[in-house]
Amino acid sequence: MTYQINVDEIDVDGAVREAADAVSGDTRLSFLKKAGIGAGAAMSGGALLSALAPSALAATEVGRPPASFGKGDVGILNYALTLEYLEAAFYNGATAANMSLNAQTKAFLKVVTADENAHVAFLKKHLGSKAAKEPKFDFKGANTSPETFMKTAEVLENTGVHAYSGQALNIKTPAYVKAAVSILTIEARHASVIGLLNEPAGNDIAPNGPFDTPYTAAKVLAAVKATGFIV
Amino acid sequence: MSSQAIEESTSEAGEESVRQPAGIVERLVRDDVNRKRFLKMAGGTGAASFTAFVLAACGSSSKSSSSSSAPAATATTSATGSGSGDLAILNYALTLEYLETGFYEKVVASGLFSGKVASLIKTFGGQEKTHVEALKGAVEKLGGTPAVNPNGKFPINSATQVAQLAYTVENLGAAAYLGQAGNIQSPEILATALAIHTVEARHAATLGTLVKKSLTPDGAFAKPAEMSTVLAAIKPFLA
Repeated sequence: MTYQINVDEIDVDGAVREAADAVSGDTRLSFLKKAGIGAGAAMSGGALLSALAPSALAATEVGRPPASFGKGDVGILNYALTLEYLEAAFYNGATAANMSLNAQTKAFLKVVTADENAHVAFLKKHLGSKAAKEPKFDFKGANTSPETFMKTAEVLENTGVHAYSGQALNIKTPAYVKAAVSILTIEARHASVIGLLNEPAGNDIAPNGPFDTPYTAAKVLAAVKATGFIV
Repeated sequence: MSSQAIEESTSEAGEESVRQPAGIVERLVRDDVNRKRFLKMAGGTGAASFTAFVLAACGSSSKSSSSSSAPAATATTSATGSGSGDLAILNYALTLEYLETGFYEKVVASGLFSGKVASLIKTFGGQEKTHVEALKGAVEKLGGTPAVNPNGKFPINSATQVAQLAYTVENLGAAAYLGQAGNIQSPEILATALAIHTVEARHAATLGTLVKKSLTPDGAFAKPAEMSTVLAAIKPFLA
């Protein structure tokens, strides 16, 4: 796996993709299937516009994390923290696995590992004694082989985008709204780059098209549960 | 051109007019100190309101500037369609999306890119165009007058320079949306802005990878850019 992507040679190694596609069970697809993320999930421009109608104030106070995460903003931050724990552990494990990755994927792993650990630290700090405990994870080898690592990373990052987008409007404290959006946009950056590395034709850069889509906590948590990564 | 050639070409002399503003924009998006310095350099003595800015950009003789840092707090609905509050923010975003759309259209027309990169550029441009339509629709839904297309001018010289500029423009766009996230009153408008914002971030990070720059130039937490900063940064493109 030595393909590099730059302005001139964005898809020099189609063989790598084919190999990745051939991975048995395609973690990404089965994950998406389980998560119910299929055709029609993307919001078109038209749908977005109609969502701007006054009747669709629905975006707020909908899809909050379950009470077990805590009340109000604490619940949302703990929900975010749990997802960040998952991402950080996934990348920490991937880093420790010392996989043979191409230069761009290596660079990606370095950035995301640092970022997700920083997100965990930030959320823990602000939650203080109310911070959720880190769950126990079993990634079942998904972060120890390059192909599954890359595909799973893409799913996790896009899930992060859906999750933060889904809660941004539910957060009450203005400072936390800003922080959440600041993190949200970083997840989107991660997602697009691993999307490009996985799919050099560029179709995974913005898989939802011109508008990213919010998901309810229930939907995100069901998808996370389906991975079996949390034991 | 190899990626090394891309790096080398960016350090060549002769593209001063292109590289200088781009470099400054990049730095100011990252660094508040530089931001203030940039504003000083740009001749800004205070944060101009969006209305004042649009009036100036449209060739009005009005030189009024507002010291208010709130977005267009003094704005009135006018032929420029600025409005106030959420309307002003929507028109501000619309102006940025118009610029991005125009930029990508010019890049596509230039024929500087081929193959996969050309198709990426086309996709990005198409998504910006969809943002324009969504924002226009949102302004109209709120009873406002959409901002007019500023018909930006961009230096289009080489694949490398254009890719760098695209990276700069997208990062600026992402920071601009982030800068307004706390100012938007209407939940629906905020939802729309957020849905667009992350796509700008996706474009920016992708371009960063293509030009061998950071996918997250601000680190683990993206930094917002104030409206005044963004307006100063895009001024060269409105000439």
